[in-house]
Parts: sequence; structure tokens; C-alpha cells
Amino acid sequence: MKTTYYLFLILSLLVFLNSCSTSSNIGFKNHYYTENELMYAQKKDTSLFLKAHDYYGNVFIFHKSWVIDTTERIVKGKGKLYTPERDLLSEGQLFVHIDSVALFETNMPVKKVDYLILPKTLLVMYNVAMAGFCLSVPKACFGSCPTFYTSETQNVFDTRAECFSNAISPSMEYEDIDDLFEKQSGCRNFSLTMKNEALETHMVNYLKLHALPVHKNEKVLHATDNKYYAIHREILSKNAKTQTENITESLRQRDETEWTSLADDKKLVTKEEIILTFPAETLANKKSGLKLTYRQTLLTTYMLYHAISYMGNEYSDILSSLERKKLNGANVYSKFSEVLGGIEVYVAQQSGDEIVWEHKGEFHETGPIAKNTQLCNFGNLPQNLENLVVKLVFTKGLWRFDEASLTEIRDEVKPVILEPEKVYKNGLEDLVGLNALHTDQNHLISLPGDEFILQYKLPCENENYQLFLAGKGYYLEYMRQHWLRDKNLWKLKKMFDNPAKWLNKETEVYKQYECQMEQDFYQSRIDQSVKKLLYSAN
Amino acid sequence: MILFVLVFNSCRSPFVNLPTYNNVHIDPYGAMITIRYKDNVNKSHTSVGELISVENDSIYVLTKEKSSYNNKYQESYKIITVNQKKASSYKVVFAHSEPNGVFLASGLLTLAHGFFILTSIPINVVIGALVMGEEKYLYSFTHRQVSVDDLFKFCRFPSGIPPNIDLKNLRLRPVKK
Repeated sequence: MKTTYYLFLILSLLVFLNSCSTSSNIGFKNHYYTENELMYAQKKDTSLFLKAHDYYGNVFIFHKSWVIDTTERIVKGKGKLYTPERDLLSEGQLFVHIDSVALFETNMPVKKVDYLILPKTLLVMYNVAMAGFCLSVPKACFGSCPTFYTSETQNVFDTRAECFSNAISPSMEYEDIDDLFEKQSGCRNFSLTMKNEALETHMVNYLKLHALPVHKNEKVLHATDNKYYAIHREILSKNAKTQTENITESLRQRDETEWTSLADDKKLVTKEEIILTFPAETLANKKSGLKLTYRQTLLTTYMLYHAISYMGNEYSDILSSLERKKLNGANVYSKFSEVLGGIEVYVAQQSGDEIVWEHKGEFHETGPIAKNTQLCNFGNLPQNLENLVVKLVFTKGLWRFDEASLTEIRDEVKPVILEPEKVYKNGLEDLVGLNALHTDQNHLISLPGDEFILQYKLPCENENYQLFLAGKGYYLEYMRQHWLRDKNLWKLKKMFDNPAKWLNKETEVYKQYECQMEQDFYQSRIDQSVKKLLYSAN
Repeated sequence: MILFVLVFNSCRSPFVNLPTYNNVHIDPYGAMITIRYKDNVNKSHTSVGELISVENDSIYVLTKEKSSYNNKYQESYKIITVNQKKASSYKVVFAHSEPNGVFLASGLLTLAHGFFILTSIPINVVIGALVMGEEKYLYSFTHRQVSVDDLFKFCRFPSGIPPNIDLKNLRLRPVKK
């Protein structure tokens, strides 16, 4: 963000600084009324071009080789003769009587003014470098999964949800629940926009809205145990630190400031920790949990696209083979998932003089675009607790953290599950799509560029509802022409057989791209006012 | 992309009938002038056209006007005579720069920027528009830089309008297509 902002600022400044400057040097032109003056000027500079304006409005334009013949009182040389209307009258060897000339005008070629060369060069360099980067690492630049927007937000960086990011084949289909961060009054219609902004076919089994009744000063969170809980108080951490830095400020609230670390230099599967300390006196003997807002980095996207590129032109064969043999693709994915893992949550327990870390749960949601806010339920906290110390353990460079707070849990809440009542595809009502979403055997099919609007009717029983999206389906990633040359079935086998080993071997290559990927991804979180532009990458 | 193309197209100089900087020394036409002036009843006007002549306290500018007649657009040429004392400001453009193919082509590379097109398009549109907007005036001067006494150097008829000329026959430089 910062680098792009500064680049933008510098370029704008360079242009604006020059905006008042013009080429006021008019010394390339000189005018003479007599041949003597002209001869004197020619002696000083023989490379002048000459225009002879006669009394009738014609103009003789002589190129460099013109001469003044004082005996015959003519000027002669190669050139062009134009009428007063500036029609070309004659071309070639010309002469003009000096006595018929009203004014001689000498000209030098104008020097190129290029004070804009710097901003132009910088812009060209930026465009070429970015295109080069994206073409060499397309995995870093192009999106995936169906993305969802509410009515006010329509671009990829305001995505409210991205569904089933892991499901790259039919057997990997699963349900994914995302918080839409929407509180709506009951009895109203609610519209959701689903877009396919990538080179993929999305097969959507269902898209159900989970409407959770919510009271004033209350929020509902989806928890790692797949239940919903109402929470009503949040306590910020006194201290949040990793082994090397204090990140308390970065985790204070859900905003644009995320914290992430870079992957390990030697092994991609290296773990790291965040230690969070919460003042917990007021929560003693009460139900509580950790609220965490997070999303993934581009590491999993990088990995997935690598797997596909290794399959090369056998990509579809291998996928269908996996399906036919019922060798569930999810098994392959789960191997990676095990190696990379989620965000494990531990709470410190005092056992005599020792501290024992009790495992409380694990956050895990795939996808680098939409942020997830979830709850890890700790149950009742012990009495006489001054501080609660929480440890998060995760793979270095795999996650981005935005917000962490301790919350008091009120009750478990049951959702009202709503099916869409209307579906519009690219502006037209889509009854086939609606039917597909209502029946388990069929899928709504979304092709690149498709945009669906789903309309739901919120129940009237409660005044307010908090909305979550439960989507089930899978997607088929398209093979790109330039990935075909990366085909390497041997590496694919190695990758599937021993993901940990493959990841560690890939460390050096990934590290080359990581900084640029992370930096550019973050930079692209630009000001809302300019984000209205279409996301038309594909 | 449509916005991108529109913005870049809009940057094409209104002074399309100007020579490139490397041809201005062999160009038979006058420079283009944008002049602000007041008429006899002190009403302000701005005119754009070719500088024809500066003489007898007047500046002569050849302008092109569009009018519609029977639903057909017609172009006509008109000489505007501005009293030098009534001219409040002017800007004279005598050449334009050559189009920079590399610069324009690099804008198309944003198509390959993936996610980052969100950053790239605004940067390209804003910087591109500013740069190209500035380029229109690379070879120009204003009334603050060059006095009206020196304006004759950029006229089609620097020595004054010849007596035999029918001004109605004058035309602006044809635009190269």
C-alpha cells in the first residue's frame, strides 16, 4: 500500500511540478527584412532553414542548401512553395526574387523537450515489471473461488465471503460458512451478489443464508466448533507479541492494518507463535472465547497452482482419474492441510510452578481474499484469574492476522436457514439456477465473468438478524497455456507423496516470489474511491 | 479498459493541426492560439485557432466553427479580429510531441496485472492523463512569456496580411488521419 501510494504521489508530483512549465524559448526563429541581415545570419550559422514570405502571401520554404545570389538578387535552393491558402504550388529547385520578399524567416530545428521523460519512464517500468511478475508467477496475480458482495460493495477487496476455496474437484465439495458482516432488520429482502472473477467454472450446490437473531449490543460469531454464539463484550489484549516483535497495535481492531510474517528461509513448514495476554479479571468464572479475524496469505494459492501446472496437459485426466478411482481429492488436500495446518489455539494453565498449554481449538479457513472472523470457545474461565494468556501456533508466512480479542459468550444461537427466493444471472431471472440451488443433485454453474444476484427474504420473528453465508460446491480451475510447459509428473508425485518434503524443497523458489507477492497484494488494498474500477483481470 | 481507452483518447491534443516538433521549422502554417478577450460590449470570449497575423493593434485568428443545417453538420472558417488591448491572455502552441508508442503500449500491459489491475489502472489513467495533458503544451508559451510584439513570429503571415488575400479562402491545416 505504502510503496504504491508513494510511487503514485511521486509521479503525480513530477507531473504537477512541471505543469506550469512551457517551452518559452522561441529563439529558433528569427526574422530579417533585408538580404544583408540574412547573409550575416547565414554566415554565423549555415544550417538554417529559410522561409521567404512574399508580398502576395506565398511562402518559399528552403531547406538547408539555400544561397543568396546578390548579382541576380535572388535566393535559390531546394524547397517548397505554398500559396497563401497553403496549397503546395511547387517543389524542388526554387528561386525567389529578393525584391518580392516582404520578410525572411530563418528557423532551426526545434530541440526535443522531454521533461516528462521521468514520469513516463517510471510508469512504463512499473507496467512492465508488474506484467513480467504476473506472467512469471501467474499464481500470485489471478484469483480463485466464487466471491460474494453485498449491495454497497462490489470489488474484490471488499469481498464479504469466498466459498469452498479448497474444493477443486467434485469429490472435494464441502460446505463453507462465512460471516457477511451484515446486520439487517427482519422482514426485509436481502440481496447478495456472487461473481466469478477468475478463470474457473464454479459448481454451486447451495447458497443458504444463516440468519441469527441478534439483540442490541450483541454480536454473533461462528465458532471453530461450527456453532454460533452470541457475544456481548470484547476485551482487547494488553500485549500481543511474537518472538521478535510486539504486534499489539496491529491486532486491536478489524481494519486495513494486518500483521503477517514472511515464510521461513529454510523450511516452509516452520511454525511460529503469537502470545496474547488479556486482562481477564472481569471474565472470571464466565464463558469466554477468542475472537480472531484472519485470512491466508498467497502460499496455498501458490501451492495449488503449482500442483495444477505439474499436471500439465494431463490435468483433466488426473482429476477425473482421482474422481473415478474414488481416490478422494480431499485426501490429497488433507495431506497438505495437515502439513501446513491451521491456527492452533492454546490457553496457559498454571500447574504448580509450571505453565501447561491446554489446546482449545483450531482456526482454519482457506482463501487469501476475504477475511474470516471466528470464535474459539474456551468455556468457563477459572476464578481468581488476573490475566489470560493465549498462544497461537501456526505455519510461518501462511496467515494474516487483523484482530484478536477476548469475548464474553452469552449463549449458543441457532440460525434460521434461508434459501434464495430469486436468482438473477447477468441481470435476467434464472429459474434454472434457482432450482439447482434448491435441489441437492443439481449445481448452479457459474462461468468466468458471470454475476448472480441472490434474493433472500429475512424472517419477521426478530427485529434484527446477523447474516452468515453457507455455501457448498466446488470449482474447476482452468489450465493456462503458459502453465503447460511446467508439466512435471515426477514432481507432482513427490508433492502428493510427501508434501512436507516438497514444501521444504520449494522454499527457495517461494521465497523469491514471496516478498513481491505479499507486498503487491497489500499494496493493491487501495483507497475505496479508486476501487470502483472494474476488476477485469480475466 | 473502456475508461482507460477513453481517457487516453481524450488526451489527444485539440491542436491536432500542428506539426510535430521536428517539422515545425518547415511548416508553412501559423501556430495555434487560445486567446481570451473582451468584445466591444466588454463580454468575455475565448477563441482557439490559427494565428494569421498581428498588425495594426489587432490579432487575427482563423477559427473553425461547426453549425448544423438540415440535420447536417457543416464546418465553416471565420477570421476573428481581436483588439490587442482587449486581449487578456493567450497561450500559443506551435508544435506537439511525437506519440510515444512504448508509453502507450505499456498501458495495455495492465491487462496482465491480475489482481493488481486495481492499482495499475488508476495509476495509469491518472499519470497517463496528466503526462499526456502536459505533452500538449510542451511546445508552447503564454502571454507572460512572450509579449504580443513578438507574436508575429508565429503567424502565417508574419509581415502582415497581404492586400490581395481573400480571407474567406483561408483554411486550417488539414488534420492527418
